[in-house]
Order: sequence, then C-alpha cells, then structure tokens
Amino acid sequence: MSNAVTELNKTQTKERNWLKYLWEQYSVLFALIVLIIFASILSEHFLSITNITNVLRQVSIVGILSLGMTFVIILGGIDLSVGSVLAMSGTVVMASQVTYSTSIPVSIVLGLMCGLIIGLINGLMVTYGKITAFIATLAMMTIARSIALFYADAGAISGLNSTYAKIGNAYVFGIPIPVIIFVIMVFLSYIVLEKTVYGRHVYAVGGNAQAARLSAISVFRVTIISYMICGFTAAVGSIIETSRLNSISTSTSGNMYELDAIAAVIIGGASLSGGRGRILGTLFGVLILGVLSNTMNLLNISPYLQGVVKGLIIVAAVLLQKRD
Amino acid sequence: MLINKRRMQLTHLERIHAIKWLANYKSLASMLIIFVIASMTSHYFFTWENMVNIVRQASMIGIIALGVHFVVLLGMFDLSVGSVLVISGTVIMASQNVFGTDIFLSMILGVVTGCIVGFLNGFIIAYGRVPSFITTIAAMFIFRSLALWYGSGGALNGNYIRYTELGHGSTWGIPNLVFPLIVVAVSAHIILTKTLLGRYIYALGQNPMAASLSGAPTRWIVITAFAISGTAAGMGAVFETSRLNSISTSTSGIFYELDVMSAIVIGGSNLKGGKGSILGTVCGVLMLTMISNYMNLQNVSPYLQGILKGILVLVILYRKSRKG
Repeated sequence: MSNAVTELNKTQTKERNWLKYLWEQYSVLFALIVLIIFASILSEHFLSITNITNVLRQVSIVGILSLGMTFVIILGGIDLSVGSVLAMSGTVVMASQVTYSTSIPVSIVLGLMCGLIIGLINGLMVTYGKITAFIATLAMMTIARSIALFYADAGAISGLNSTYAKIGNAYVFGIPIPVIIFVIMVFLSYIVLEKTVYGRHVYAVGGNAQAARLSAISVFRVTIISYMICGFTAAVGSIIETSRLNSISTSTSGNMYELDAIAAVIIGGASLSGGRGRILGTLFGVLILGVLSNTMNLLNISPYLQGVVKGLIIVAAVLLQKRD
Repeated sequence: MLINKRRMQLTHLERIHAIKWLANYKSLASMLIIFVIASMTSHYFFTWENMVNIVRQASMIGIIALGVHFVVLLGMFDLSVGSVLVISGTVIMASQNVFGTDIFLSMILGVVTGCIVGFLNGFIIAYGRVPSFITTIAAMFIFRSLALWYGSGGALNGNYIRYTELGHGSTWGIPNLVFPLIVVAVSAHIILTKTLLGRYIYALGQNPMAASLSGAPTRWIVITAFAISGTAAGMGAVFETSRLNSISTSTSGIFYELDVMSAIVIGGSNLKGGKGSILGTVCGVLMLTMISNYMNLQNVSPYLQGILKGILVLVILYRKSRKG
C-alpha cells in the first residue's frame, strides 16, 4: 500500500500537489463532514430537517460575528469587544424603540450605526493610538458593556413592537430569517474579502504590514475599515439577538460570544499572526462548533462539558495547522 | 583607554538603572497622587478600616497579578487565570467536603492544581508552539467547564469554619491575607531581579531570538513562567475560598483575567514583553482598587466605574505609545 503510494507520488506529483492543496484548503471541510457522519450515526435525530434548521439558527448570531472577526484576525489583530458591542447595539435598538418610540427601520439603522462607530473607535485606537489590539478592544469590551449596564441598570429592556420579533422568529420558505441573514452575510463577506481590492489589501497588511505600506497601501485605512466591519457584524448579530426574544439583557447578552467567534475563526484555519484565513473556513468552523454542541445535546452529555470539547478542539486545530 | 571604556560602560549602566528606578517611581508616584486626592476629597477614605478594606480587596487580584506578571514579561498572555482559580477552588472545597482532608492539605492540593494547569499551558505553548493567547483561551474553556460539570453549575461549600479565619481574620489589625501577598511579592521580586531565571525571563521577553542563541533554555523558561502564573492563581483560589468558605463554579473568577491585565498595564509593564517591575504591578493593583474603592465611597454607579476604568487603561496606553 505504502509502496503504491510512493510510486504514485513519484509519477504523479501534479496530482499529489493537487490533493495536498485540497487538504490544506479544505481540511476544515473534511473535519466537518467526518463530524456530521459521526453525529448522524450516533443520533438518529441529527439529520432531521427540524434539527438541521435548529443548528443553523443557533449558529447564526455567533456565525455573523465570526465573519467580521475573520477580517480583523487576517489583519493580524483581534477584537474582543464584539460581545459587548452586541449588548450595546441591542440596547440602542431596544431603547430607541421603547423610550423614543422610533420606527423599526430607524432603530435598526441606529443599532448598526452604533456598531460602526465603536468599530471606528477601535480602529482609531489601534492605528493612530498605536495601542495593542488585544488590550484596546479589551478596554472597549469593558466600556461598551458598562455603558449598556449603566443605561439599563443591569436589567433587560423589552420591546413593545411585536412586528420586530418577526425578524428573529419568522420563516421564509421554511427557512428561518436569521439563517437567511447569515447566508447573505457570508456571501457579502466572501465577495468583499476575496473579490475586491480592499480584501486583497487586508491579506497584504496581515501578511506583512511593512511591505504593504511600501507598496502604497494605506494600512491605517484598511485597518480601520476592518474594525468597522467587525463592529458592523456585531451590530447585525445584535439585531437577531434582540428580535429573537424582543428584548436585550444587558448583563448576559453577548457574554463570551467573542471567544466563540475567535474559536470559530481559528478552527477555520486563520492564523492569529495574520495573513491567513478564509471566509469559507470560518463558515465551516462555525458549523463545526454548532454541530458539536448540538450532537452533545442530542446525546444528553452535560452542557457544562461542552467547554472542554471546545477547548480541546481549538488547541487541536492549531496544532494540526502547524504541521502543514 | 580600557579603563575609560569600562567607566563609560558603567555610567551607561547606571543611567539605565536610574531610568528603570524612575519608571518604577512613576507608578508609585501616580498611586500616591490618587491616594492623596482621595484622602482629601472623602472623609472616610483615609481611615484604618477603609485602608484594611482596600488591602483586603486588592489581595485577590494582587496575588494573581504577581503570577501573570511573569508571563507578561515574556510578551505572552495568560487568560486562563480565572478558570484556574475556579478549578483550584473546586479542588479545595471538594477535598474538604467530600474527602474530609484537613485544611492545610486541601490548600496545598489547590495550589498544586493551579501549578499543574499552568505547567500544561506552558508545555503546549513551548512544545506545541501554539500562541499563548489561544492556549490559555482553550484552557479557560476547559477548566471552567470541568468545574461547572463537577459542581453542576452551582456552588461548593466548605466544612470547616476555621478555614474562614484565613480570609476574614486579622493579626495585629492587619488582614491575614496580606502576609502571604507580601511574601509572594518579595519572592517574585527576588526571583526576577536576583536569579538566573529572572534574567532569562527578561532576556526572552526582550529578544527571544537572542536569548535562544545565547543558550537560554527557552522552552523551560516559558513553562516555568506559566507554572508560576498557575500557582499564583491557585493561591488566589485559597484566598477566594477562605473568604467565602465556598466557591461558585459559575461566577467565581469571571473577568479576573481582565482586572489582572489592567492592573499590570497600569503598573507600567510592556505587553510586548521585557519591561515591567513587581513594584509597578503591586502599585497598579493598589491603584485600581483605590480608584474603585473611592468611587464606591462617592456613590458612583458600579457600571459607570467599568467605563471609567476602561478609559483609564486606554489613556495610559495611549500616552505610553506616544512616548515610544
């Protein structure tokens, strides 16, 4: 067998390279397929339409967050504030509806603006302020969460308009709207990152900021836009989160979402030192995390143990990447 | 000629030393300024009870920060300290409760647990070459989950009333917890300034390549630093459990890593590694505690405090980046 393989290697290097390419680019996809096969063997409920819809709906919020996170991580940065930005944008949406009785579209626009502005501030701190991304967004995490807590006295704000709840709960052609939003966001981020000049610049800056600067790429602008995209995706996530329950809990909404989002991006094959990562990889990373927790729920494994599995998978993913 | 040269080197060394001392005094000076302002503007601030209170509050974050300081000197992060605290606390409480071990032995078990977790972190970082950020995030998931799983998400209570004497009692009017804190701070200072390990840690933090080329056992230095950080978190668990005679697996230690990081940053350490002193970190911890104590005395909403602390960290980092 191994002889045959080496023979094949010698004679058909081209094909071997192609296989290697396939493995390098899509090892996450293989992992996901293997996981799905295992899941469907272990539990007969897994492959039912209801369950799959369920998984997709559960991952949609963290999924959208990790799309923005992908931009920032490819850039070599990190954004720890997304969970708090979600809480703050959600507070803006709910407060504008409840206290100032704005219409639904206006409140959504306000929420998105809030995410964009926080992203802008993050980007400015990292570029012009020259503060390490890790610590700048850590401080922003505290600040944004505290603003939300301060406004609502650590309680929840509930919406009055039941039409708004439709965004999070209604179906179109049997597909939940959050899933549709997630798919649209995946498509958009794929186009932006892979098919536009800006997207190429993100890779260039993440790979070698100095070289990018010398080839006349505005590193500051690319960085700021990426952090704004990250804030924007957090705000989109907040709209799904708030509309799902028609309320936002300032103390618990979005807690630890940043870690899940980072985990998904890392599992998807991005490197924390920047320059590497794909939107599709992130999508598969998100799905791996979702399928895992869903399977563990179906198998009645204590939800508390999910963190152990998640942690082990993150380390394993990074260890496996290093081997390439 | 030679003597001249040597003299020049000496003055140069002295200058570096003086600058280092000035940098130390800077955090000390700002702490004193805050102290004086707070004493002047609040009647209650400068009373013996309040001072005791501040020191007691500071001891928890302080002991953890002293350990994490070693990791930060290497230019790395330890985000797992909160979870290490909770798993060590769980070990302490469970051994007292379920296995009836005596107080002293259970404390040792807790500290050893922290040390083992830190060792594992360091091992994966050094030999697996996984970034510290990712490894410790994974450890954060894993050990929090194990504690949650063991305690079913609830709290574990201790059996011995006598155990709380450590956390509540005081000797000669000084809280008991201060004594181990001082011992750890002094020994950390001695390790960092007077021993080979300390020199190696600074060398590795300033220039990993140079350190490894000059024969420093880089992997073991990293492992030792993380083991120290884990041990300190284990001691933090002793502090936490002895104060409350219980550990809450879901809330104990949450966000401690953030407080610890802010304290270290405020104390003047460089997050890129190689710079920072124990005195600075102690001052940083005391400064943060004093500020929140003062704001509590002035009836500032705790949520507003989060905003102010976040802004404080950002301003300090911004000023630092302007300077160099």
